[in-house]
Amino acid sequence: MTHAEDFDPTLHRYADGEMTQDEMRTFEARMEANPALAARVAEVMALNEALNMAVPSPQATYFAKMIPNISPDISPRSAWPRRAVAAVALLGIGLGLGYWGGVTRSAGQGGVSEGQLLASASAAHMLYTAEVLHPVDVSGDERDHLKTWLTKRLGAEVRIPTLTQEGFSLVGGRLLPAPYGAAAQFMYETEAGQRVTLYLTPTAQAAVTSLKFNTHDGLTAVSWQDPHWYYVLVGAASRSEMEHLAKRVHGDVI
Amino acid sequence: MAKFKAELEAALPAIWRYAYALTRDHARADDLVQDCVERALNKRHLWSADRPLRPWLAKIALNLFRNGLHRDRAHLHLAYDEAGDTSDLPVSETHMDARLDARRTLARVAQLPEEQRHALLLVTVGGLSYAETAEALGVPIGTVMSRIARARHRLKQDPQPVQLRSVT
Repeated sequence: MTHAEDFDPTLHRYADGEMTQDEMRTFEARMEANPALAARVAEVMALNEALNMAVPSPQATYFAKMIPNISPDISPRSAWPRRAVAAVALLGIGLGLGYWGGVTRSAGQGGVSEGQLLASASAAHMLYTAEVLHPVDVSGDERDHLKTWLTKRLGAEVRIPTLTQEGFSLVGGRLLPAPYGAAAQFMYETEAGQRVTLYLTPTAQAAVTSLKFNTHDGLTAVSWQDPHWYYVLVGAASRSEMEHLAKRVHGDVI
Repeated sequence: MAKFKAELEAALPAIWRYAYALTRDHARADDLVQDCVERALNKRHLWSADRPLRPWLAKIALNLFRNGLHRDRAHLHLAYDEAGDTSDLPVSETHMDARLDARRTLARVAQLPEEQRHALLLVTVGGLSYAETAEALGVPIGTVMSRIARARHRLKQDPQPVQLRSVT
């Protein structure tokens, strides 16, 4: 049995709709004279049909929400559609399940509770530490740019702590929505890839608090306010390790 | 910008179908397409308005798939129960059989050599033209055609995905 017709390019061009009307007419005349060719065309078209049947066809509306509303004045780097949706979803889940339900004292942000800030910080932590491709918007190599940019966007001077002595290098940072305005997130990682994030957002009322610890689902969040910033350090590490890192950050940002 | 967005939106159904054919999983296809959109937006300065967007997106999707990003990661995806997935409607028994066969065929495509598989899926499921597929894969049109021919020939020869093949 030969398979000459299998490799006839016109057969595939016909089955895949690549032919002009004239070419189709010529090819169909050839099929009439050649039953083996006609049979192979039928097989190929049945294969196409099977493949198309095996793949669902969501309607166009399904895709609209995958594209963010982009405007020319927003830099491409800060377009992060699904992640925003997912962060909001995670935040909702966090609050709904009462992740940080024990912590409801106001953080002095006009109705925004500490619980909400903790939920935002841990949602952002879970979301971005899992990222391989885009863990941060601005890489740690551009530390000065990161600092200038976030200082401008948050409206107060941002300081980026150094944790190299603790074995953590700066991966980079990003701007995030906060329950009240905006927040910055810095990500650090060890050589082995263990990641911690520092979430910071400006507060309206100055205060100085001690370190507070919350643990949920293997994640430890250390939070404090000092004096115009609210900080949350999140990581999958022990309380003592997180306390050590938090004290380092605390000392570095004053 | 508006043109870019319109083209992007128009291209997504085809890219999603291609992504689904590669991953054979609804949520993974969503993730792949979403990452594809994100990357396209980040890199849109590399795209010139006089070129069709679809091959470029297909290339991005292919690279993302190859990078293996979509194999073992936790899924954070949008709800897809409203996707209008017509393949899950109640159907007759013969239609069920046809669908099972179709799934098996798609599984067999996954066993094809990489280059043949991408050419075949871009054209059949993605609905890309030979020229667009050639651009996405970075090969001449003649190569696309011969990969498709070889893929189809192999699917005919090899009705079972796991089977020792006799020497002919």
